[in-house]
Amino acid sequence: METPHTREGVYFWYPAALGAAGALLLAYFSAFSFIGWVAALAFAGAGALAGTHLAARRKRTQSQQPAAAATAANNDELEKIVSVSMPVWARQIGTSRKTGDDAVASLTHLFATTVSRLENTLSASRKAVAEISGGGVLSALNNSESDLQTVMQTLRGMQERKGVILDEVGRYADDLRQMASEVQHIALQVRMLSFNAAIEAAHAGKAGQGFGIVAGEMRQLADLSAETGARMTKKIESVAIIDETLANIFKEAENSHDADAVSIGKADAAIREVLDRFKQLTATLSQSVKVMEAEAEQVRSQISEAIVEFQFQDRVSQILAHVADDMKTLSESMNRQAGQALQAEAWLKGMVSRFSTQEEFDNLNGGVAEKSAKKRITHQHDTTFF
Amino acid sequence: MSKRILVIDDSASLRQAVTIALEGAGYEVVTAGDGKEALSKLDGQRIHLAICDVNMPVMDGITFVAEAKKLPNYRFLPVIMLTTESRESRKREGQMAGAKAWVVKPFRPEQILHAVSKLIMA
Repeated sequence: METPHTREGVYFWYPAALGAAGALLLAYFSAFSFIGWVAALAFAGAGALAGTHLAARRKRTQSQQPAAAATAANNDELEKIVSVSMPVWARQIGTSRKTGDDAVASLTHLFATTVSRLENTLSASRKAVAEISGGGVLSALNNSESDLQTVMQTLRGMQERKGVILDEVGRYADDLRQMASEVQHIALQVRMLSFNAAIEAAHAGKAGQGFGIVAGEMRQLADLSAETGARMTKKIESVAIIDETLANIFKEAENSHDADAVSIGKADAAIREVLDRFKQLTATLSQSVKVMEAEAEQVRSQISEAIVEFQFQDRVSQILAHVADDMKTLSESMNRQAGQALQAEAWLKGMVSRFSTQEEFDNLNGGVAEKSAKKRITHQHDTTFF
Repeated sequence: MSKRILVIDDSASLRQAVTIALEGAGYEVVTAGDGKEALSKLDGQRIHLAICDVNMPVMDGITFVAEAKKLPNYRFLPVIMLTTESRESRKREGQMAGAKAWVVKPFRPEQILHAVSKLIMA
């Protein structure tokens, strides 16, 4: 069996021997001249050089043969690994994609429910405030306050009139008392006068008889006046009693009037306090709703941002789906029947035709995978109208 | 009566996102997961506008637009394509099929509402 060394020797000695033979022939046919010897030496040298080169090449080739065999064996194993692993990887990606899709779908559903509830709450608050401030409760409040003021004015008026009546009755009784006193005084004076007149008439004798009669009449008149005065006084006394009773009644009425005034005042104050508190409450409520509206506007803006963020799951899902499909296709191609060679260019063309996102094209061309997809896409809110 | 919009996308979360934006503006929304299901939804109810993804299983968006336009009641149905695709060649396909607008995802709610208000049938 030939050894590599023997084969190597052949690759050197054959060219070297040929060179030597050629050199001898050259020298012979040049009649062993100087030029002939020079040419022969050059020829022999060339043969040796060729032999060396061929031997070295042979040695290199022989050393590569085990590596090539190993590479071929590795390729077979790699093919087996890839054809088994690719479908598994594709299924792993499919599972991850589906898990992500389902989770984001649930999140967006919850989000949609929350948004709907927020809108309903805001709508109800707005409606309530509109009812309060837009002419319903507040209007009734203002009307009630106005009515209350009218009632209070009427009550105060009635109180004042009662006082006036009391004063007038008192003054009337005083006047009557004064008049009765004057009548009695007049009657007394007339009686005194009639007594004096009777005495003078008695002194005058017969001439004074007529005068005595007049004095008697005067006395009767005085008695009548005194009687009338006494009756008046009695009446006045009963009036005084009535007056005293009235005064007591009026005093009680005064007291109750004062008490009424206090009660009315207290009621007025209490009702005003309630009305003021209610007004304060509605003012606070209106202010709260204004704050809520401002917050709602902020929330709407954030909802808008969240809707944009949710859509990145869709892009990820598409990219993963394409990778999984490519893996499956590649695995099927590698399990091809013998004799059907892989067409790399056609396969790659097919892969690119399935791209649906800008990120896939950018990654194909290389260099942009590190950039945040969001940073590249945030400007991409374009609409084309046809 | 509020206008009814058909939203077609194979992604449930995308359908939900579009629905949030549209219902917030007072539109009624009907959804479908692919073009074939969407065609069945056109039957039996009045649809005023469709928003349609391009890449979907069973029937893609471009095919849906072409098929919808063949229906007697929907020859003039305005369709907005809502997709991750941004290539001019795909936009031309959509235009040739009869779409009225092309919106590239991710969309902002005000963006889709602007397109809807501009195109929706009276």
